[in-house]
Amino acid sequence: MTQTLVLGVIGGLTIGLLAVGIVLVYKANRFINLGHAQLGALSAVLLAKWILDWGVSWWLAFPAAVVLGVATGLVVERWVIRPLRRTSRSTETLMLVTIGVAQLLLALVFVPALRPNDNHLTEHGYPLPFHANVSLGGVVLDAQYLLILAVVPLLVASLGAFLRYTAMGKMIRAAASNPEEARLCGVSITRVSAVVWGIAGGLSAVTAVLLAPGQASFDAAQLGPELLLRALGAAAVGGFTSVPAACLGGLGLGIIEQVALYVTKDGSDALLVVFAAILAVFVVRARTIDRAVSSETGETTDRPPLRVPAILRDHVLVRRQRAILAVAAGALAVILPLLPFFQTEASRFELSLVLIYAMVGVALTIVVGWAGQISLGHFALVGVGAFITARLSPHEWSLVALVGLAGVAGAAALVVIGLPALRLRGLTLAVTTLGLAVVAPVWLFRQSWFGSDTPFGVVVQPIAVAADLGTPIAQAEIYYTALVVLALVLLAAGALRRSVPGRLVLAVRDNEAATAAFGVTPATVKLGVLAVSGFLAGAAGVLWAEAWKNVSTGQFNPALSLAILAVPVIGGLGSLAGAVAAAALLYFPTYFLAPLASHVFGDFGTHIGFQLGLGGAALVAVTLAYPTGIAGAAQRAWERVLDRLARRVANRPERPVEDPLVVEGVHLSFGGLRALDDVAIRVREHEIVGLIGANGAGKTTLLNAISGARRPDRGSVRVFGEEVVDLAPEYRAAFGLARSFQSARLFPGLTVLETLQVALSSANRVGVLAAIVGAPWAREAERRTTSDAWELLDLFNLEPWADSLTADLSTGTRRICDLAAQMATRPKLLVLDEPTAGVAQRETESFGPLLRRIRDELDCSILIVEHDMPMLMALCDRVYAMEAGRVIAEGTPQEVRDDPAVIGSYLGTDAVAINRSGGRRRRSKVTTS
Amino acid sequence: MTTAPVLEARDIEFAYGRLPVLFGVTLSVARGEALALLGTNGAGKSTLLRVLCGLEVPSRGSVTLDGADVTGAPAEDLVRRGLVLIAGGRSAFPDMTVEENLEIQALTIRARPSVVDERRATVLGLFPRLRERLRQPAGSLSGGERQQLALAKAVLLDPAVLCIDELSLGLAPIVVQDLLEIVHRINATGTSVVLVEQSLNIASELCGRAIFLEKGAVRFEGRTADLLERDDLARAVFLGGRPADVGLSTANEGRKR
Repeated sequence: MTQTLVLGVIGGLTIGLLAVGIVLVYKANRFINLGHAQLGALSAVLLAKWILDWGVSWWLAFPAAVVLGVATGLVVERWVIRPLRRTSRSTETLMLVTIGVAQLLLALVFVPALRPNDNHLTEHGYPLPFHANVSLGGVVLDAQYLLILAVVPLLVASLGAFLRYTAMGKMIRAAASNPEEARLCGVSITRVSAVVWGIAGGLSAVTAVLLAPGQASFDAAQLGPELLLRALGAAAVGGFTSVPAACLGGLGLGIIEQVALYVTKDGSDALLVVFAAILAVFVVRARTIDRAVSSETGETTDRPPLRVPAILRDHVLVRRQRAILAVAAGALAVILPLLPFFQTEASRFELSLVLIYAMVGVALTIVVGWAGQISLGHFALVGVGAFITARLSPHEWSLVALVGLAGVAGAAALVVIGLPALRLRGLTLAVTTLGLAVVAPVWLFRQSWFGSDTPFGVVVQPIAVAADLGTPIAQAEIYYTALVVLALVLLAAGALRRSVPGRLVLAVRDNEAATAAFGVTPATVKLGVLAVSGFLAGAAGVLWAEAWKNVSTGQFNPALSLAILAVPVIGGLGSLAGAVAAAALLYFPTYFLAPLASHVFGDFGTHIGFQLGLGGAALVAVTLAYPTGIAGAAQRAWERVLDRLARRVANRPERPVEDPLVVEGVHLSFGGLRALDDVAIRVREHEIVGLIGANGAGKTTLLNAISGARRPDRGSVRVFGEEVVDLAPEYRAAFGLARSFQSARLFPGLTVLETLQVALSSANRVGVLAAIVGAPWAREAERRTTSDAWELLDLFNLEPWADSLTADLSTGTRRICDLAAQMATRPKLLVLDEPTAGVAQRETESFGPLLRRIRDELDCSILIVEHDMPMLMALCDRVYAMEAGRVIAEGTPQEVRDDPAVIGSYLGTDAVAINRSGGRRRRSKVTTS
Repeated sequence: MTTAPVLEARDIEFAYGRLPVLFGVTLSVARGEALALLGTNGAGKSTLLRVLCGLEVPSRGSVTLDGADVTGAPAEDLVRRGLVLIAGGRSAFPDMTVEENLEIQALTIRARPSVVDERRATVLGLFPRLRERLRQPAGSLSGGERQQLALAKAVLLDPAVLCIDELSLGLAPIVVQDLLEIVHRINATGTSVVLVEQSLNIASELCGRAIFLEKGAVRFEGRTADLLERDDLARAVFLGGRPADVGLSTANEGRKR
């Protein structure tokens, strides 16, 4: 029993030392440094190299190693943490970036040039300052144990004294207690942060050096997730802020583990007990931890919505951009395994793995990007799905059924593991899922009722996709199966994101209290997110089992769960397409380019070193420079392309911005009759231009040529700089052109509201099937259409007639309704053909102000053919006059009216006649108003 | 007030993210004067103090301290240059003892231990309650004691300019009177005081001059006595910033609505 205690104390001290480092950084920076253990990894390797290869004395090498650890801490703080803290990024972002830092540092450990000669290491073991065999309570303590027993208490005590009695220590505590007031007292937070990271780096180096001799050959992964889990549990004892409590917590966990080991005689059972103890710590200390993390602030960096130039809103590249991207990516994915380089089963197997990583990446994106939580255990969920698949594959389960079952199992596992994390964001889920990642391979996957204890694991029998749908056996077949599943997952996840529940997830992430005030239960939403994400990860396990063809514990190293966190970050938090792209960019090179870099990471580290280096570097770089990841970068690039396209669409070489309408040299003949003879007109931005002329002068023909109803024999019609003369009318709408007709063509059987909804439906397109089943996006489009329709009704003062049949409207109101319908497509150039023809005088009067509102509020230029001269003269900025197919005058209404040619041809010489109707009306207006 | 101002701010503009808070605020504080910064809730008074004291960097404008441009200088540097901010109610280190709090407050003058000892004695003489509680964590102090602890910083550092944010917040009037007396004494020794206050009474008692902020811009600047006569502004302060709701109509308010 004393033996158990002594071993427990020794193990506990190292855990406590790590926990103290985590607490220090937490005190100063208010986030958990998940890479704390790795800060000193390089120190531990180099110490061995200096001593074993170069013959340096331990007593010289050790201080040097500690200094290196301090330097590492300072570098990380200066170049990674400080820039991120300055831009007040969220705690989650900072935690994620420490994972990247940890990976980068671990990758260095695999570089042969930095490692000790392997023969020396095997021969002499990891260097120690002295040899000893002291017996204590039945335990023979070697030099390593003695060092731990001596160094750790000394370090912790002196650290405590440093914090309590020195000025710097007090400054650190002041900064932790009230950062703002500390600044107001002259404490430089930046300096405090740097000092703390330096200390943390040094502590980590000491820990790594103390732990290293325990292994036969140096294994940096030993400083990985298992130790991190214990250290986090120990730090939680003191609410992440108390150094003594963290140290005691470490001792407690160490002793608990040894006692459990003594009782169960099974290391994996003991680990399970430790995990349970850590969960208990989180439950018991919930309030302290809550208080410690409640001061968290920070901004989540969301991608802004795509900015589309107005002129391109209806461009096919914009409307179909998702589909185009999906088809392009899909085509690439389909062709890839057929290329010569990927002809072998091995490379196709690796391609399948890339797809599976992408699927796990999507699952993580939902948790990390949408819900703002961190899961460090998704690969354990893949393992759950994989083992279920392996165990059930001999029993003729189909792939579809297995995906369902494994998915449900994954969902259940993540929900259960997430329950303690409901109250606390960012921290607890990270710890509980880390526990899952660590415990699952060591305990769950080794249980005979679930997994297998043999190194080769469980063999997977071929699985039929569904009854009579064939059984994929070759890796190419499995690849395409995985591709189909991934595509379905992306479709489903995309639909979820655009649905009401999808928005709720983000709402809860951004402001839990506010969503609760709307009657939403944040806990339900969070559990829902975990369930969906767990389902996807579990389902990915089925494909994993299929591709590997045998499932063993070794495939689910907890480090994988940490490494794959790079995917949602690099992809751009929240972006599904980005996650897929990131998975491809991360794992494709790992499998296919890493061998080319083997001279950097050596044979041993070819894959793992390359992957850690690439993933870590990408994670850190993306977080620092591209907070919105691949998706954000792609979006910005796409916006630049669109801007250029918009300029091309809107531009002619001779003018920076092309006018809405330019007609040049248009000729059109009917038989021998020259209906249009070299006509040139122009409508400028924000202009209302009138077109007048006697009957048969060619006005309507010109409008037909502009709208596309008639094709001119010669000449050019440009809408916003784009030549449309050869385009059919329906395509001209894409350039922002709309036209109303003399006889307003409406749908007599529909109400005014319904008419507008029909007109709007092209803007908010929804599939019929989706509408029938009431798919969320269909309902959303429906809602948007209705609200847009009401907006139009309001703008055109049509609200009183919303529920009237269009057949029952007066001519004038019907015209207005037609006008409103035309405006539904948000045109930027409206062509009107005698809108007031046949309309009662009273109603005509409302047209002028209405057209001005269309121009001013909807930013639409107007070309209008009209016989009501007074209205035209009052309304138009410029007027063209036509006679016999030619433009005979152009200018302001006044100029045109006074033009002798116009007077001669159209208005007649009798000035009284010109003013007849209008003159009277003006007078009557004056009297009535 | 013919001497150069000790603290001067010109055309200060500031926004929290996308939310603009200050729109071209200009003010100057003469040596030894006490200036009240008044205004309705959310007018930007505290934000202006934060900008002046280097906790926030203005998007436009400049801050001059003792003739030197200190725009964008961090708060921790400004303390050393004699600009001290006491943030009402939030200015203690709750996890540390009162003694340690005093020690951190005197951080910038710790190179002169004799001065520290002398002023520390003054503080403990002024605030006997703090002497009794030297070994207790500051988190266990009452509201009044906490403000005493906060004011201790001003006594310890003897700054050129003392900015105080909400001295009276949540305190009983009698406690406020005592604190006010201390501020008055500090002011009398030559320290300029900039006082952000909700209570017009307190402001008028201490400060001869006042600046009234509304929606991030200066609306009134002059003698506090004159401000008291401006019914619209005075009531806006007294009545929590909603003059229109209490049946008060002024030309300015009318235009704004």
